[in-house]
Amino acid sequence: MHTVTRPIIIFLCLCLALLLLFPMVGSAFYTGLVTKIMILSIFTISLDLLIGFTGLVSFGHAAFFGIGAYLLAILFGDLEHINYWWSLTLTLSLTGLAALLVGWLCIRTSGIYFIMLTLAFAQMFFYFFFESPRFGGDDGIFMMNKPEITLATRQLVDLDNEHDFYYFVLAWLVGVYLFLSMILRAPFGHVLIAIKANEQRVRALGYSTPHYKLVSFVIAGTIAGLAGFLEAAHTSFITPAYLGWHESGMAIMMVILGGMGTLFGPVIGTFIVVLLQDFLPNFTEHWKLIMGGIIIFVVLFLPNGIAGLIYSISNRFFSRENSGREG
Amino acid sequence: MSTSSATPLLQAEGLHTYYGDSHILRGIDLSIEAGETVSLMGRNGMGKTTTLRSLIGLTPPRRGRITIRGKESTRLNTHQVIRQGIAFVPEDRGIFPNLSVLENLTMAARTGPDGRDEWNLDRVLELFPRLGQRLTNMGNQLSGGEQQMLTIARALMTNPDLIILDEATEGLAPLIRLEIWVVIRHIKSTGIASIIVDKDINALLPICDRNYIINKGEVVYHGRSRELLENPELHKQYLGV
Repeated sequence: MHTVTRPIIIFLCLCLALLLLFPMVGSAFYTGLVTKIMILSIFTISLDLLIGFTGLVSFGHAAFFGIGAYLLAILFGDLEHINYWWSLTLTLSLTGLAALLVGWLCIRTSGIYFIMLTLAFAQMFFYFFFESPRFGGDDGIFMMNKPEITLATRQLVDLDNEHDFYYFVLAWLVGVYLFLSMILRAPFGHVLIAIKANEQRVRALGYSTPHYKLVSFVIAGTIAGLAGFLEAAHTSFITPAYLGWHESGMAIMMVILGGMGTLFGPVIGTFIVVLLQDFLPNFTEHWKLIMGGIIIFVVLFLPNGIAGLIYSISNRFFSRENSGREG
Repeated sequence: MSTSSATPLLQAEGLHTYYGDSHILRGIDLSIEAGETVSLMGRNGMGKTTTLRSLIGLTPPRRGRITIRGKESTRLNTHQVIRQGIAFVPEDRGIFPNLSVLENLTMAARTGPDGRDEWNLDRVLELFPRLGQRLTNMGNQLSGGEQQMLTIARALMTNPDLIILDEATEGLAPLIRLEIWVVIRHIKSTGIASIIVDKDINALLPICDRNYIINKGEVVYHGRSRELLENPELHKQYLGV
């Protein structure tokens, strides 16, 4: 369902405009919260590439989020001046390498075995950091400074400034969305989408599907690492919980709730889940029960998630354009 | 078609294929020359589709040998077999419902093993004008006949030397079936070799140069169409018609 019709483009532009205006009206707390949501959205979009487009349900995707965060903190956390360009390049390269190694082994399996293997790898990374006093163990690890984005000694963005950080993350979110949209419109993306529909048929067309799945896995892992990098730079504090199965499970829930195979759906899903987590505890201590009920409702009555609902509304009221791509 | 007349385009010798413990193919021998059209016939469940799947590595044989242009291909992966100029049109049509008609076609586009690119989008749409009107439709928005046309068109986009058609007219309306047979004849006229599995013997025999009848996983008859047409006993015994 990733055909983006004109009403959907208008909807996305409106959302972008709201996000651009938000720091001007929102409090510092909510600006920080939305920054966090946008970072998580980058993470869930990357998971959508795997689940929604390639048909690979990874239950260990948080590993790469955590690895990205830990790499920034371990390699650069003690430095007084962290060069953004170097730290980003090294963090993403190493996270991509980790995704390559994990993916190379995992894509040999499928279905439940793939899910279990990705979960096992994520738990391995989790316990590695959890039981490594050198990296803070279960207490986590602090970063003294944030990366400095400079070009020829001139500071481009001040990441210590919450507003600057907000727009910096928003730019990354838009960039990642456009990058993945471009990939999915290219022949490479068509092969991924076809693999999700029927891998055997794709092989019978002469494509080596494991290679395509591995590239998809590495791209998704590297983008998850980017989200981890941004999260570490944002909070300056990293704990092993970032890599845990709970984070991976939450990300899957956000993707399903928002709408798989749409790219923008997971962003909506992330906003809904995090905002509900923020608001519901104000009303009842049993807020997780209500949250579970909402998710059950969406899964039962909106099989294509919130994005599917938006597609239906846009088709009914605004256009008869074709949007029949199923996620 | 670069294959010399002495070397078959594709040859299978003594194929034994299993599904788990079930012994399905019991020593299948068949060959096809460049530009030739052959049929695989037999009642349901006799091993026709398994033979096709074994030839392209989707269900690899446990024993036996497959060669393409004389080169060993028995243990090649499916995509490696296909890249040698073989196109497969599966029984279930095999279109991608989550891609548009245009995307279904372009994702298959490639030159043949000898660099030929006779079959491009324009030529395929000339052969299937109906698809030209449906390019932006998703695969799941096509009728059964259109889906079958798309599958054959997509196979042609790979510029194959050999096209394998498994029940290409199965379940289609009579007029659509006629259209498909016209296309199959056209494919034959362009020099592409074909292996065809189909139940419509009356349409199949006039097109095919040679025919194989498979019964219980073995080739029980192999001969020219005229011989088969003149032997109604064989029809009754192995084809149930």
